[in-house]
This record gives sequence, C-alpha cells and structure tokens, in this order.
Amino acid sequence: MRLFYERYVGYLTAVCSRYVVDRSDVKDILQEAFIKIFKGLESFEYRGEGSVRAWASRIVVNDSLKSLKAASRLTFVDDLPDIPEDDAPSFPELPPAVVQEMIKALPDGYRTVFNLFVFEKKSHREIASLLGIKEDSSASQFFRARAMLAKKIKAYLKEHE
Amino acid sequence: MSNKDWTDRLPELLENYTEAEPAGLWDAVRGGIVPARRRVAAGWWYAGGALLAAAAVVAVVLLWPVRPSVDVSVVPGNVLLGQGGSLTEAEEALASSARLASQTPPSGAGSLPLQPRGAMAADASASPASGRTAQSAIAEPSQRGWVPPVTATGGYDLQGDSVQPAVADTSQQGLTPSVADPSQQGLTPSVEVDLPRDSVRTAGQEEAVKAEAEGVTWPEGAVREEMKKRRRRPATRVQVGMSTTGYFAQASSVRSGVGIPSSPGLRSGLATKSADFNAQTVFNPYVTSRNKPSTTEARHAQDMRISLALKVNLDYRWGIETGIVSSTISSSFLTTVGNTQSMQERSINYVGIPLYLCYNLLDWKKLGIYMSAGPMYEFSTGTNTSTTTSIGTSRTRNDDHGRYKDNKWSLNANAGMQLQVFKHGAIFLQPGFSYHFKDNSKLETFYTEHPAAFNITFGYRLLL
Repeated sequence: MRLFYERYVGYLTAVCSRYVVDRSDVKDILQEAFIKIFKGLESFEYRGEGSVRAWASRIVVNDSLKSLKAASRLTFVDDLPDIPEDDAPSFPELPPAVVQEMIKALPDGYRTVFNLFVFEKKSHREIASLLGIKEDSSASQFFRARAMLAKKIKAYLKEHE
Repeated sequence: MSNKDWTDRLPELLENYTEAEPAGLWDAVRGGIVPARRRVAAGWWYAGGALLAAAAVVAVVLLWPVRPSVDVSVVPGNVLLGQGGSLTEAEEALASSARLASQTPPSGAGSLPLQPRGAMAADASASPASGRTAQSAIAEPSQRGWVPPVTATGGYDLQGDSVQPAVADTSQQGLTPSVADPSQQGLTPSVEVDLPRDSVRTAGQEEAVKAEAEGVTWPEGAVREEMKKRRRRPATRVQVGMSTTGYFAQASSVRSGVGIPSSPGLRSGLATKSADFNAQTVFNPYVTSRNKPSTTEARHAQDMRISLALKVNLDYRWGIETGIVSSTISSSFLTTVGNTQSMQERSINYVGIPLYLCYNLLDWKKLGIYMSAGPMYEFSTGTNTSTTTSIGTSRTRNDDHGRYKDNKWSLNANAGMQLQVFKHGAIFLQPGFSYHFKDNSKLETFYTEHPAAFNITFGYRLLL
C-alpha cells in the first residue's frame, strides 16, 4: 500500500490540483480517493502500468468533480463577450509546472471543462452530461478556456524571451 | 499548427508532471483505512448486539401472556367448535351425545375407545371388530377435568344427515370402559370445550336440550348441570386426554374409525401414530367415522418473507449478515366424511434470526448482486386458524388465534439483488432456497411437507 501510494501520489496530486485549487480540499479528495483505490485494488484487473494509472486517475477526477459540485464552485457563464481567436502559442520549452499553474489559474468552470476535454478526452456531450450543462455551453467554456490559456502562454513566453 | 494541436500537446507535456503531496496525506489515508478495519470490528459488536436485541424481541413476543390453550372443542359428529361456537350448539352436542349413547343398542363395534393419550398408542391399532367400545357417553361430571362427555370422533357414524350412535352404555355390556379414572392412570385430562358465556339459548332449544337429556343414562339434568358449571368459568374448557405443554395439545382421541389408504395429497382418517395426535388432530381436522372412510386433502403454501437485515462488510467481497426475517406459512385441510366436511385454514407466523455469510458478486453503482448462505432459527410467533364445518346444510365457523411452539432450524442459500437507497441502507429482493430440518414437531406444515423449498425475501438492509 505504501509503495503504491509513494509511486502515484505525486501524479495524482497533480491531477487533482488541476481541478481543485484549494490545497486542503486536494488533501481531502486524495484521502478519500486513496482509500477507494486501496479498497478496489483487490478487484482491479491489472492490464499494465498505464491501466493502474488511468484507473487511479479516474477515481481522483471523479472525486474532484464531486467535490466541486458539492461546493457549488462550478459556474458556467454563457453571456461573456467572445474572446477573439488567437494564434496558437508555441511552447516547446515551456516548463510543465508553468502550464499547470496557468491551468489552475483558469476560472473553475473553464478549467473543469478544459481539463475534461483535453486530459480526460471527454466529448462535449459527455462533459455536458457529467456537469449537467448543455453541450453548447461545454464547447463555449472550452474555447474560452483555451483562448485564455493561449493568452497566458504567450504572455509568459514574451516575458521570458 | 492548429489550435487543436497545441491543446493536444498538453497531456503529453504534463504526463509525468508531479506535485508535492499535501502535508499529512499518508497519515490521513492510513487513518482512514485503519478506522475502516475498526468499523468492521465494531460491526461485529453491532451485529452481536442486534442479534441479542432480535432475540430479546422474539423472547418478549413469545413470553408475552397469551391465552393458555387453544379453543378447540369436540362435539359429536366430529364437529369442532371453538369460542365462535354457540352455547346452544355445544349443549346440543352434549345432549345429543347423551341421547345417542342411551338410544343405541350396544354394539361396541368399530369405535375406538376414548383413551388418554398415553394409552392411545396401544389402542390405535384396535380394529373396529375388536369388540371394544368407544366412550361416547358422558363420564362422571364430578371428575373435574376428566370430562369426556363427548368423544372427538369415536362413537358416531355419519350416515346421511343423521348421526347414529356408535356405542351404547358400556356398563350394560359389561365391557371395560376405555376411559378410566384419570387419577388411576396418573393422567391429566386434556380435551376442552369452550363455552362462551354470552350465548343465548332459545326456548325451543332449551326444550330440545331438555328432551334430549331425558333419555340419557345420566341423572336428569346432568347435562345442564355440567353446562352450568362450565358457564361459570370464563372460556371454560372440557378436557379429555392427557395434557401436555403444547398449545394445541388436546383431542388426542380423534382419528379413530375406518380410514382409507393414504395417497399423496390425501390423508386417511386412520390414526397413524399416537404421537401425531397431539397437534395434528387439532390442526388437521381429521373427521373420522366408524364405518365411513374419511379423506383429508392438505395444501401448504409459503408467503414472501419480509426481512430487516444488518450486514457487516468484512472486506470488499465478504460480509456477515443477521437480522430478523418474518415468514408466514399457511395450510388448509379439507376433510370429508359422508356429507360432512370440515375445512381448516391455518397460518403460522415465524420470526427468524439468520446468520449468513455473504459474498458480493457485483457492485455496480448503487446496484449489487450477492450470494449468502447460513443457518436460521425461526420462532413461531402466532397461529391463526379458521375452521368451517358443515354437516348437511348446517355450517359452523370458528376463528382462533394462538401460539404453538414450533421453532425451526433451517439452512438457507440465497442469491439476491440490492439497491442502495441510502449511504447505509439498501432494499433487496432475494430469491433463496431453504432446507428445514426435521424435528419432533407435531404439526404438518409447509416446512414438514416441503423441507426443501424455494422462497423469496424482500427487505431492507442496514449496511455497516
């Protein structure tokens, strides 16, 4: 158990932190998630390293979404002014920690949809179903998040040129 | 590079990215797991407590004061009367008994002597031609408690609409009465007749009873005197036979006469073994006659079980379950002798305490499929009987409720499905298979006739 914990805790903390910013909330979510993981390990069908990681990650994401919903932090605003499409940022040398922090800096609604779409490979229909919103809203949130993130990356790159 | 492309690179970029764990996370995780184990240990205590509580509830139910015995009376013509029977009927039965005893030429043929239960085993095999007589006459009323003013069945033939006496005054025949002084035999009387106090007799019935009583070998008015004695007591009972601790422990002298061979689903009225007399003759109204075969058709059924269960998960798969299971089994006995029919419907309620070992086959969201197996001990908590007897066009019906000790051990195997409706609660539907062990029960029930049977249980499960 301890070995498993030490092996995955860093990665799962990063996953959880992309959804939930508050550190104490992250701790609570990870605690519950690890307990679930340890209880479910017995029944888990091992199909390689990636399967364990993906399975554990899914548990953390689900618990994170539950926590966000329970805290009513997810607000999806549709009447925001459109953000103009920007050129794609280039970030070959961008540190992952910087990107992570930029994602965490997104508003809750944007961040959640963005994470589900980009990292969990969910479709907008699935995201809409998961979050109880319209499919169009999910797409709208994603594009805004993407534009906002692109802007941040460009600003960062410009600053560190 | 398209916009989609740059977002697609993010997972790859962050694939191996890690963050420092929150401080104290491992301790919190470990602390969350250990209490879970403690919860399991505590769950055993809870389960034990629940088991004790359930046992206490059952004990209270069982020990709660109830009427001391069942209201079953036996009157000529094999009519069973309970409290619902009128005083007039009972008196008429007694008077008729006396009349029949005095008017019939002594033959002694065919009737099984009325015997205390202890002596029944020996006499049950006595053939109708043995020449022994039945005691349909009224014994000495002063012998309190030993009052066989009527026999349950022996001594009467149901011929057409008339009731013919089977036996005459045995004293005239020089035959040995089969009912002796119980004190001499060390036996305790045991068949009772309930006589409601509030029954009203019409003048015509008074006359009829009086007229009938006139032909009795008893002293004049003896029947009435006897009836008066009984009337003074609430829920009076006349006992014949040997009393036992059983609730339905009377009428041990029934089921004499000619029977037909038993066949599946049918029972002859011939007594089989004396031990069975105790309850079966009451529960199963085997109407018998000297010269006419009687048949009794028995049907048994089992209702859905209702359960309140308490389950403790030992780990992800295994668990222990206990609780309370309420079950009801019902039986009906239709006995026919000539134009006389007696239908008895009986239901017995049980409260069982199971101890099951459970294994989760599937947990999907709030739905679970599992198997469980283990023993269960069932306490009989109540018995309802309804007896309808018809002779010709007349019909009597008696309803009664009581308790008969008929506790059962069984082994059960179930495969159930549960839906978790609360964090610690789930409803379940559980088809199962049970085997009830044979015991020394005197009752013919669903459990004795179908010891191995399928059942279905519906209930609510507390999850620990």
